[in-house]
Amino acid sequence: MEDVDSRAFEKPLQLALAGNPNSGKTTLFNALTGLRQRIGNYPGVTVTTTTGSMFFDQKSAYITDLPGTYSLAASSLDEKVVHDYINGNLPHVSKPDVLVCVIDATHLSKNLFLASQLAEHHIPMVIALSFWDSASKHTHFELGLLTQRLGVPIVPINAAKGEGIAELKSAILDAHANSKTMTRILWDAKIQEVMDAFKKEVEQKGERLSDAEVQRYLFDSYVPSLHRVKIDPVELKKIVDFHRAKIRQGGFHPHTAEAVLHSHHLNPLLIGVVSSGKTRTRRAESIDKILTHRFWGFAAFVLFMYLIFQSVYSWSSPFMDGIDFVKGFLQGQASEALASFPQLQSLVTDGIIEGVGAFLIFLPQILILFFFISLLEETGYMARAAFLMDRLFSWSGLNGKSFVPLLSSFACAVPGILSTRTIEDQKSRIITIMIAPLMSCSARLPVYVLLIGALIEPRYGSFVAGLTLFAIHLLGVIVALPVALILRFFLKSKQSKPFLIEMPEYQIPNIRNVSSRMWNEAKEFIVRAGTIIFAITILVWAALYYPRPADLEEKVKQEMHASYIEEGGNGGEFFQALEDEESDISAALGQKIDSAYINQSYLSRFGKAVQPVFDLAGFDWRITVGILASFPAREVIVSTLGVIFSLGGEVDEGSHSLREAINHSVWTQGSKMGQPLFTIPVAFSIMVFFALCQQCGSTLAVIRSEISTKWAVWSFVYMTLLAWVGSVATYQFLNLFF
Amino acid sequence: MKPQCLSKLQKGEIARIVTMDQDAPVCQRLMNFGVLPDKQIRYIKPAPMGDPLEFEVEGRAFSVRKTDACRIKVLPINGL
Ligand SMILES: Nc1nc2c(ncn2[C@@H]2O[C@H](COP(=O)(O)OP(=O)(O)OP(=O)(O)O)[C@@H](O)[C@H]2O)c(=O)[nH]1
Ligand SMILES: [Mg+2]
Repeated sequence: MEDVDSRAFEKPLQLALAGNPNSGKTTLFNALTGLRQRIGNYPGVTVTTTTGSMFFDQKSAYITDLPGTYSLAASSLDEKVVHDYINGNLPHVSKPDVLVCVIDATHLSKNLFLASQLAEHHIPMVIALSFWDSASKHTHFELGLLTQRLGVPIVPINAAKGEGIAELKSAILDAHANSKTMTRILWDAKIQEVMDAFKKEVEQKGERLSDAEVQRYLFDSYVPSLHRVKIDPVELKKIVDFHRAKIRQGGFHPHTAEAVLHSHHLNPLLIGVVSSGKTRTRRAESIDKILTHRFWGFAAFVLFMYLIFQSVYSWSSPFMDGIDFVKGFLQGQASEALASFPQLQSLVTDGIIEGVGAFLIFLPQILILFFFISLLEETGYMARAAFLMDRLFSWSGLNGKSFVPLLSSFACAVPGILSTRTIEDQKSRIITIMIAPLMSCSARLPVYVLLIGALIEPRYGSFVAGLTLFAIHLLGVIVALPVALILRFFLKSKQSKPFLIEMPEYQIPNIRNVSSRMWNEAKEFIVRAGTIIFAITILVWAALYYPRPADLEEKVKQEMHASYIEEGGNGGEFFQALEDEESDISAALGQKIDSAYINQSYLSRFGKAVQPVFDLAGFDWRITVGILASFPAREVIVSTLGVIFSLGGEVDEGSHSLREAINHSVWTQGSKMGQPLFTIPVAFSIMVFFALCQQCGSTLAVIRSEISTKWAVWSFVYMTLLAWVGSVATYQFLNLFF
Repeated sequence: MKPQCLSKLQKGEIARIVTMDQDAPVCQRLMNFGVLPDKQIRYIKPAPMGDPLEFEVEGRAFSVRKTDACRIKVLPINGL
């Protein structure tokens, strides 16, 4: 048995990455695990823990990326996770064996505060010095001296380039094998006394606290609730307050003593370690002269947004045409191959290829949008945008920290809502979550682009088209502000927490991060095409294709014959023309049969029954059906419309595109029979509906898990009502002019 | 000279932090962030609508709201 490597049976190492926000933890995590977690140059990108696996020479290990925090004195949800994780208080995870403390070398002394707090947990530690590339340019570090003083390995890294990773790995093994923990603070005698007394008193109540937990109880501005501590909260608070009073008597303030004392502890350790050459001027400041300028700041903001939407719109055309061509080609091939099985032929060409294709055609826009979003995130502009907008948001009860979640909701509300965990104030957090889904997410892009491309651009040109796309995105923001104001009025006011946001240095976007963001989004988009879109497409097709009464074709032929004679035609000629499949009459009959089938289909009957609800908004039964089908996920609309118009025979041989079908479709029921269906007012009415409606199952699920079921229901109800009112108002108003 | 409100500094002016209201949550946050009494602070500029304000301490820039900034009292350092 001796030759079996005993290490193979050991439990895998459990590692954790801790550090200040924006210090490069996720970049390092990705370098270590090969995963592609999101990275961005602003504080608060990572808000939950992510665990991945990595390999040392013979060992495997789990590594957890934690949200960034300046201190263990947590004031927002994402920061509490760090504290809970390191104390092993999260379900299903054990305490880490080694902590990798990621420290931004350009701000060494400030970042060390967290490391010094972490040292109180007696966990072996390694310090990874990130931003080494830029720090070592201007500053000389005596790393040997610092290593000696801190007692833990210190490894300079440049995670983005993979430099220092091997050294870091061996340092981790070293720290683990030799239990290297960081030099602890020597507490002021009075504080130490209070900590001991507190610990003893809690022990008498039957609970053992670690030193680190004692410090959290005494120093944090709230009384942390450790689930495992079974003491009555009221009693516990009394004990805490008693000992905090003792701290005050000793001449310290309980909520700041920690920061002050750690800094006294660290300052001498840093003497002779850092010697900077010439003082660095922050590049950010000269760039900010323009980007946060009183006037130019806003101008630049609006210009950026406009350019993004204009490019999303105009750069994508050639790619869309390409996808459209492929779709048409596939339909042609499938149609020929399946000619002898009409049902299957229709399912494949009118259903699957049309539906999935009508969705996939928007892949180029999504890629372009995320290209820009990741540029904004990578450069460091996000923090500036929050700085610019804070005042505007504070009027509606939001703080500047709401800005980042709201901006990420333009990509997708789900990560946007998750990132509200950085907002300390619960009231602001709820308001932010409630308005986040009003930000126009990328799933709405297809329907906007479809309608703008079909109706606005041909008439008014591409400048107006881009402008329309920009305006419709703005709509959500404009509606969100009063909604926030109303919510603020109804939510009971709690003590509001201060707003503090770091303004990171600008940096040149890393191509790898940008492309990995685009790749992730593209993957998700294509997966959706293959799953939910595919499934709903088949359902919609079936509900539109059936029933197939045997006598329908004959009946249509008779009717057409009758009206032909009524108009003075010759009956014989009529049947003769039908012999010729190329004749006008044959084509007209084919179209009539298609639309007769679809008009008596299950989905159409259902749609016509519901349509009156949307009559005031100018929607016919087809748009109604499309909207109803889109409640689980709003992007379903394009594939549903694709199937409806394709089956209805309106996407004819020459033009496969849904865009053209939309341009030619007419009302098939009611008083507007025969009039064009998609007019300018209808197009806007639909876009407004999609801009405001809560048509996203995932968002509702996230709201439910982040706040409560009640708020999820509210979100659904208010947005859906708002969407209906908004689209009716838009339609009725625009109808006065068009 | 009497210590003054941090928000009363002139644009670009440098000052030394004298006191921080330790009961104010913003000061507790700032102290965790590395902003401590005796450090030098520089007022960079206000946001376009006058609030929040941007400061720099030891090469790290951050912004806080005006009302919060006033919890910090500073003495301007002249001639720097
Ligand atoms: N120059 C340089 N940039 C880096 C380095 N490490 C990370 N960055 C950049 O710093 C920014 C922040 O990186 P992240 O990995 O998202 O930081 P984080 O610590 O995970 O941030 P939060 O999740 O917000 O706490 C990104 O723009 C990175 O590209 C480094 O070693 N050198
Ligand atoms: Mg991160």
